[in-house]
Amino acid sequence: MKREQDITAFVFLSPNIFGFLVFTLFPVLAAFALSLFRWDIFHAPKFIGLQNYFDLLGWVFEDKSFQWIDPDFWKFLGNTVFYLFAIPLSMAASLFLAIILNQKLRCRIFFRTVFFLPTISASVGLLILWKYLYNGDYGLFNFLLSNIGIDGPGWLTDYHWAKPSIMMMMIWGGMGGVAMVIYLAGLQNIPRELYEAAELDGANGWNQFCHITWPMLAPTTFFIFVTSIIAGFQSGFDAAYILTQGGPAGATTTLDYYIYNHAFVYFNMGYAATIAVVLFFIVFCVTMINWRFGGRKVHYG
Amino acid sequence: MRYLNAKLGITLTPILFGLALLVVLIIGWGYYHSKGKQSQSEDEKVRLVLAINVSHRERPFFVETVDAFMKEHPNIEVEIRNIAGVRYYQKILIMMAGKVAPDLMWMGQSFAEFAYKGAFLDITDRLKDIPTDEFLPQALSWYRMNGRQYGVPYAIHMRIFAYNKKLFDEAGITYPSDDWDFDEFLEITKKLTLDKDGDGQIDQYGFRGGLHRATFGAEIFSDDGQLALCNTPEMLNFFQTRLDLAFKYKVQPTMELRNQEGRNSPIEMYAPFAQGRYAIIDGGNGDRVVMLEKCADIDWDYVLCPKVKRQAQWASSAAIVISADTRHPDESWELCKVFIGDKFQKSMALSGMPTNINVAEEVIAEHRGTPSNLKAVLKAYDFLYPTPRVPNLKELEAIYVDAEEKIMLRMATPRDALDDAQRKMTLAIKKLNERNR
Repeated sequence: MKREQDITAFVFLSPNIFGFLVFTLFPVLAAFALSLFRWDIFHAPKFIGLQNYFDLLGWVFEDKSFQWIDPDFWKFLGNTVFYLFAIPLSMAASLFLAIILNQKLRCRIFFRTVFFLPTISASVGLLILWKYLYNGDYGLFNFLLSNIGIDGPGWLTDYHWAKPSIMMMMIWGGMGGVAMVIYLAGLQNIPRELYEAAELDGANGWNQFCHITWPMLAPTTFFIFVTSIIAGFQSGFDAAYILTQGGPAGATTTLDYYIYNHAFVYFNMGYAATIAVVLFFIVFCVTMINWRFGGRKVHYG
Repeated sequence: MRYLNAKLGITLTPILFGLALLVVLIIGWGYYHSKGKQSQSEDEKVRLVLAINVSHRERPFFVETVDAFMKEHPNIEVEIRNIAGVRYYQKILIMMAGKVAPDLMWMGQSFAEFAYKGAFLDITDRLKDIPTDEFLPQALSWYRMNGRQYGVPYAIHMRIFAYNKKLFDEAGITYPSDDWDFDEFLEITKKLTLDKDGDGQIDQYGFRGGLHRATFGAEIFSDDGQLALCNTPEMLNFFQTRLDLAFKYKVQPTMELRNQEGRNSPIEMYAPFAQGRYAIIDGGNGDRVVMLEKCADIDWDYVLCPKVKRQAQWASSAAIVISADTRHPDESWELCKVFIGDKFQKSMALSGMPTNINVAEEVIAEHRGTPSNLKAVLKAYDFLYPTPRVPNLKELEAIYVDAEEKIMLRMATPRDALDDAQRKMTLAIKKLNERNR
């Protein structure tokens, strides 16, 4: 009977397992293997050992100083990390929205839908909309600024403004989405009695938030933070591809876009796989650090 | 399972059998479908796929030509796939990698990237079918590799300056001539740069676009792609001059301003050019049809780029090449010949000058109206310079563009940015050589 149950379970799981093996595990393993090869798609892959890793992470001593062999990788890693700073801001905004939507408001369902819209809308359409908003000449932002006598910057074309502009867009995109829904679910799981007891003790709204809501949401916050960091390291592709082509002067190129360029523009498949593998280890290490240090401070009820 | 068994009488064996049958059916259907298609095309008609990268203005000429070809060759059916846009080459490469390359395809300056991969059919022995001696020899050489010919271009696209005659008249300046030099250019652009309302902001720039680096004797890399030439004195001089034009003489907008106004593609310059924002622009003869449409309200003309160290005009071209994997090389060549022919070249003259010199001369002779100096395009045939044909062009150009942006946005000095580009490019060339070894 046990054996039959196992087989039954396997049969029901098999479509998913099959999909995972073919579309996830195999490509991941292939990427690891490919990173040891030089391959331009047209010719047979050539095994080169760790050469791609040396080219990506190595340095040379030139002009009396050490220089990265691929300085762009470090620059684009910096850009990627820069965008990660959008995560706490977008989490804070998500929590704020979730708290508002958790109140007994009129049209609550309507607002929940509205705030969730950016997540279910086509990202390309949204990005094109943002492109118009950011346009230096006829964009809404510069039009509003010009009304108060400020000459607005070239949001996406100025080297110093391009990154923060995309970051602002990311905060907007992230605040009403999945994080808000998860926070909302978390808020609804906090027992009402805790708030009632706090009210009896004379705690005001802020005290209730600091001593009940925030600690009780710690597991939710931790989950959102960890998953957002993982997603954050793989972000920035859409914006770079559609809005800026990674410019000006590489200011908005992230590692994701860099991988794409090497793979599908320069056809350096092996090198692209190497960047992907290094990115995987970076994400893995950061996640481990999060679990090691962040996980301890989370109280599960 | 027990529940299913008890309620519906279903056991595990039929479920497993059903799944296996489903997989077999899916695979079988796919196999039958692909085979069926092949045998159908073999039995009935030859089907050719032609991939092009042209605007909606040029597409009708291709459709018309292909329709006429199909009427003449009832056994051949041609499907046109217009993959217009900046990702054209990338999509073609991916199609080739997936073994679904079109039989014929439009090709431009990325020719070498494909040819090095053995992507095209060698047409050297078929050239006897066409009058090659009538073609501009240089244009033919652009599609040659290791002594073998892989394509014959039907049009030349060159960068050429266009100027607004009205703004010259208003400033009382004589129109420039094709043999002008940089000093004349600078003087003219200074006079044509105006703050009309006196608010401290420039309303009319003398120039927008780019001087051609070849006129300074500069090039990004050697013709064979083996030597990076990013930080030569000529290149430094080229960039210093560009910086001076934007920041010292202020006769052209800075890159930051240009980016704000729109990306730097020529097409985005034509509307402000027509509005009098720029007196001279670095346009392209390939966009003549666009200019005639967007600048219909002004009187404009062509002039060659000013000579600095030497005279040079950057040029690209358009050709139809045949895939090395085509199953119908003879039929593809028949179609290819139509695109090289006089009639097609002439019909496309608004979007690129014919490579057949006789046809080009005919076009010039028959031309009336704007631009009155169209013959400048033909004159430039003597000093065209294309981007060298190298297999890793995209990668090398990206390095150069990065350095250019850093310099023109004043994030780095020309020396630092170009030294950096030189180092990166040398490494990229070294890597390519290792790859090809």
